[in-house]
Amino acid sequence: MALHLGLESDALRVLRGLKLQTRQRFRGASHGERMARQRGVSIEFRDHREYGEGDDLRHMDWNALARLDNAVIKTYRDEQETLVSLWVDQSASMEFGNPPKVELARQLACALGIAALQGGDTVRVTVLGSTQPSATIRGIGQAGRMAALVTQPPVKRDSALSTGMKSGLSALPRPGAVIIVSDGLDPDVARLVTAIGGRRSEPFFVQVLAPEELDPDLEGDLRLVDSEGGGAREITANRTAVAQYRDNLQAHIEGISAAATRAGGRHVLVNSTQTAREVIQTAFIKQGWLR
Amino acid sequence: MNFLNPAALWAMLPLAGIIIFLYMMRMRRSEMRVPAIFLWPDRTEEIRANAFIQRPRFSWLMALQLLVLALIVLGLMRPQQRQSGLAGEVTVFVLDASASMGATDEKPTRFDRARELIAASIRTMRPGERIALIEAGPEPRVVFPLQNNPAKQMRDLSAVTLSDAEVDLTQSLQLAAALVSAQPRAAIVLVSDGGGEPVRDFSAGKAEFRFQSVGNDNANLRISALGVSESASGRLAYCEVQNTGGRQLAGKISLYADEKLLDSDAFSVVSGRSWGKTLAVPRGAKILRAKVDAPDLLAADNERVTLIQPGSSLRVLLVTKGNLFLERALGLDPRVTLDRAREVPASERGPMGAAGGSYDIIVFDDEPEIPVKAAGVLNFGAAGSPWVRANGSVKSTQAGIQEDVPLMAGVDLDGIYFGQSKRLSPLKEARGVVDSPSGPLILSAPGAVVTAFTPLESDFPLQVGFPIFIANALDHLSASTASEFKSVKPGQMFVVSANSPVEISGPETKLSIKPEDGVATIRGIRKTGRYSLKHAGTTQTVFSNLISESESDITPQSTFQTGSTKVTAAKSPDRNVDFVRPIIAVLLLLVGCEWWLFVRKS
Repeated sequence: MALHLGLESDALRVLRGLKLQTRQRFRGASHGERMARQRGVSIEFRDHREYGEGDDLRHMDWNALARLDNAVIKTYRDEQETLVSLWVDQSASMEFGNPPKVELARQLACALGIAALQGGDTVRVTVLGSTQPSATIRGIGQAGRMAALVTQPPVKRDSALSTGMKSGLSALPRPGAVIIVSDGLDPDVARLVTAIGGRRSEPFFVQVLAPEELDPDLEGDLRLVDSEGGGAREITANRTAVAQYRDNLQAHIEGISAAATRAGGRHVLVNSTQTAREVIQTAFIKQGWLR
Repeated sequence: MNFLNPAALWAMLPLAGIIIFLYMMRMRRSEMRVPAIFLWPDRTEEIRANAFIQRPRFSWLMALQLLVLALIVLGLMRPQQRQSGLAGEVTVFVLDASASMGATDEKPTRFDRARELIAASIRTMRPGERIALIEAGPEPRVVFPLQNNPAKQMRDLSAVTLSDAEVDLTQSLQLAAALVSAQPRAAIVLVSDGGGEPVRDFSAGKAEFRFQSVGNDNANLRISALGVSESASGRLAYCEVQNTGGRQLAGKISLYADEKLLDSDAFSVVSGRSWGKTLAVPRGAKILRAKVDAPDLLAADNERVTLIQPGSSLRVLLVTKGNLFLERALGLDPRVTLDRAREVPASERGPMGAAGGSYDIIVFDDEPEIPVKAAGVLNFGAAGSPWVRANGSVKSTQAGIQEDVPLMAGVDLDGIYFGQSKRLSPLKEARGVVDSPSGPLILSAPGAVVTAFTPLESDFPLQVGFPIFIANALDHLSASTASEFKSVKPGQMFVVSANSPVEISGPETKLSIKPEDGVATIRGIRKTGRYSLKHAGTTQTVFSNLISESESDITPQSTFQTGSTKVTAAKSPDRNVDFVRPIIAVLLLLVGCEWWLFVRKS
């Protein structure tokens, strides 16, 4: 099926009018549509304060002056845009699965990017481990550009996820929302998610895993080679080993989820066989990521 | 615990080396690319190997296999555990009930000690074990077959009694071998002092043969000779006492004629030597008895009775090239003093009944008969017999009509095969007593018995009737059948012509035997002493004497020879039991664990 803005048409229809919902409010670099903590210019009243010299007389509360004989100025909540960093993992491990995990990951990244742009936020796309962050993208009119950045083929794929996330962290210009679409298959991921919180940003972790990763069907004496250059390991894949793998995976997923929650963010686990529309409806909308 | 085959331990080193080497071989693994390896456990539990080589690593599978190997090697070393009792899983005890077992060096006797040992084995018998008992008496007897019924077995064991007979252990051991021939892990245990005739024709087969010796001393005196000879001055009794033990013994001998004391004399005799005495016997005396009082260990050979009447003592010359059956049959008769020769000595040649002959009877065993001074001739093969004429020979014949005469009393030739026999015609007063299609097989004449066959060309010597026939022939030739006294050996079978039941009473014996076809076969005299036979209003006195050099030699043996095999006597009534079952149990458990581990790893 042909993709438009990196998504199938039914997913695009579902996305219409939805905005990315952050739990925190972030100071933006420019005026936007998202209420900021700071006082600013908007139609939403925030508070009164004593008039001071130089204040704009258009915001004088004339009724209060008439009743109380005291000059007070009405202040309004500022509307600022939020910086949404969209980190898309296109490393070698994302090529696993049928269809490859990366296909769904790109669609979900596009969906969340479009929702962010629809909410008036600025989006910076980073293909983890491969490219530097893109320039900020504003307005839904730039959605095509954003989708092109998300779906661009990576320059190199053998670098570890944690390396890409560290680069992304160091390139964060200011606090904002950080959307990570990845399989999360790196032992340092949970620590790095916590680090995102430490930078006063709100992580959104979309973990895409293939069925054979969730329930592997290996047997016999094998030499497992890490797809991202993490070395090799000799194992005897038997019932015990597979059970231990499942336990380890479950603990790893729970570790990422807990780190995201502690950082004020969210985590969702997605099966790579699902469609983007299903994920938008059953995860993003139901869990309040998009509204 | 000790080991029968400790050399098997040497197998441990190379075999353990091979197992460890196999575990040092590395698995050639198929390579697989995965998204990430950090989630996979570091578990390299190799159960196969096909490439060289790696540092040895601990593996439970290897440890189990080494343990299994150690147990197999342990099993090959045949560990043995000491247990009380002689019996194993399947055991046949052969209890020697011969005269020498009456020796009192073990208290009360060797026989009782042997019974105690067997009783201990029965008491300690475990479920699944079976014990049989064969009494090696005058006739081998299965006291109880293989079974596990201790109460009944103890009762049956206590009913077994000692005999004063000379016993050939061969038949009892053969019977024991037949009992366990189809039994795996069986043992034949002979409980004996090891004395008696040597055992030649015996093989235990797959069964283990053990010898438990009883007895610890050999001090013994025997009356080796007692007889009466005619001399110019009248009858003279001669008596000889032999020391068969290992040390000098002193004692007193008393001689009685018709139970009246003739003389009593003290003597002392060194080991292996004899002491003798002669004295005149009153005219008309019928019985001469000698009794030794001495601190020796066997009483059965300390008293002996001989009959002073014609035929009560027979000197027999066997002219033969060699015939063991005939020698044995003649030797069974206590009246007989037997000599063997290849030909008749010149001093014995002459007309029948002439003076100067030394023998009462001469037996020609397939040798040409010549005129002899002896009063009786037994001619096997009829060669040169003046009582018959031979008209060639026939092959393969069987006995026909058998006359009811004392010579054939208790002898049944029906079904006996005669390989070759002469075609005979009787001459003068000779008459056939057993017929055949080709003429008489056995003929009797005054002072002569002639057979158309030779013993070695028939299976007659293997029959029970053969020694009876020889005894009948000696009776016929010595004309002693009507005697009121009889002398036998303990355990000897003999026949009495009777039409009504024969009552036997004597030491430890009270029997009533019904005759068949006018003949009562007596087998029940087992002890030495005086017995009374009553039938049809007549009473016959039977004296049972132990006359056996081998039984009087009571030296306990430390080894037992069966043919070419020599078995050493067990030093104690304990036994070494294979410690194999617990090893097999642990081995199975370990193999089970290994299988479980293998399945888990596979």
